[in-house]
Amino acid sequence: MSFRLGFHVTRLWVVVAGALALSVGMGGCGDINGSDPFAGTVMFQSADQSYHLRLLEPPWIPVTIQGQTIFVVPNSSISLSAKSVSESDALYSLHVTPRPVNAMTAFRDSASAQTPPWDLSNKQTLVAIGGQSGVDISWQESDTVYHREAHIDGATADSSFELLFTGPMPLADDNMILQMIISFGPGVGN
Amino acid sequence: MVRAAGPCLVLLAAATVARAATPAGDDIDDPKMARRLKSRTTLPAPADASPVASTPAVAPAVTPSPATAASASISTSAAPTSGSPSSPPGAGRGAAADVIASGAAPAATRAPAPRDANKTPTIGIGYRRFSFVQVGATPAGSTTGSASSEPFDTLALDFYPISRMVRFGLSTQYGWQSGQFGTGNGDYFIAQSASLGLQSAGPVVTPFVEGFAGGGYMRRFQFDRTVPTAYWQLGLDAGANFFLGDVGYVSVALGYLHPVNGFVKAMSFTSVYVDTWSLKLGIGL
Repeated sequence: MSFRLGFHVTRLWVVVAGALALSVGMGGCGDINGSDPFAGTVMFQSADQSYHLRLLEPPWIPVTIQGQTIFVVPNSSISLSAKSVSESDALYSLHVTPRPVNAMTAFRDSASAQTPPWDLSNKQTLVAIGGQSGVDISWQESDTVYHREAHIDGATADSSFELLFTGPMPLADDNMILQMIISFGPGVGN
Repeated sequence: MVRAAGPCLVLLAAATVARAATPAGDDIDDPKMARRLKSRTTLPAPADASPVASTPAVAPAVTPSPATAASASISTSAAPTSGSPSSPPGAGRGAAADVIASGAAPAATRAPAPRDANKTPTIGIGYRRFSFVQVGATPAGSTTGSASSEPFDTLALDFYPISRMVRFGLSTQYGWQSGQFGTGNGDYFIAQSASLGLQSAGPVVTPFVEGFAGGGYMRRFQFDRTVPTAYWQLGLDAGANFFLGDVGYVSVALGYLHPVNGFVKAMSFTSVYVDTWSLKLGIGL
């Protein structure tokens, strides 16, 4: 009896494995080469075409609140496909705000307005994939609230964008946040 | 010359048949007795030969291996001499026990059956390491936007239902993001693969090449959320199994691997793949 059971399990195993192998063979070898820039991400274009960025959607979802688009990662109790999430449901969030000065000036303005002031030794300069210069910094607001703020030059010398990330974990070394920052650019994206 | 060779061959064949029909040194003059005894031979009994061990009726019906047959033949030729070196004093022809040559010899005279000279794997555990990409992440300092490399460590249970010159295998794998095992914060996958390959069985080294394909589930951990995705792979391994006597084997294989991660992107299904090399180490039986 045990032999017969074992035999059937083995045969079932062979059939399942064979079907999987066949489906892999027929299913193709994948759509996107992982070595391509920003593989697997979605290009988001703002409604007024003033900026673009790449994000992983899901878990990120762009939502429009009072005419302004923000990006959120809903907490685990909210479906990733839900379109009615509010910022209070967000585990992570990103606000994009245009500034009428270049990135370095906007950064200094933000730094002087902080209480307590930022530790500027944490400042990092960056170059976005489109060639725009920028600077970003991370800090902790409370035990469960962390921020990362990047300023990136806009299409003209006296324009820039502020990207403010908020999350429950340290964001300084998060390569997924970095991907969103360096994919950011003014105007229409490619 | 050819005409001379013909009779020689006939004689040779007749002599061979005669040797096979009549065991040397065990001739029986009475044809009737010979028919009754058929292939019975006489062996010297061990000093403590018990009736159970020497009773033909309880001899297990095991097909004798060449080694067993050889030992029986040796015992047969030694039987008539009462002064056999292995026989204790007094254990002469009078204490001899009858056994049937076609059955198994007593345990004391049975030699262990050797394994096949050429060995192939049946079951094993393998460890593989390969690099995938962390979708949606970019390494610090990147100027191209290429995704971060994401090494995976994989443990696999390999089973080969067919393992001759052709080998067919089933492999159940669990792979985790390197350095994140057991933390709950990393990516991992569980996959089932089937393999088909060729091997050249040898007594110590069995080189092989095999292709494999399979798929399963991959968990992506992105922004503190578990994102369920699909995983599948194609690959080709070339390596060798090194057998350590009857203990088992160790194996080494260099492989080409094509892992693919399928997931939902903006409400549609897409997939990301890489082409990479991998190293697989294994142990097994």
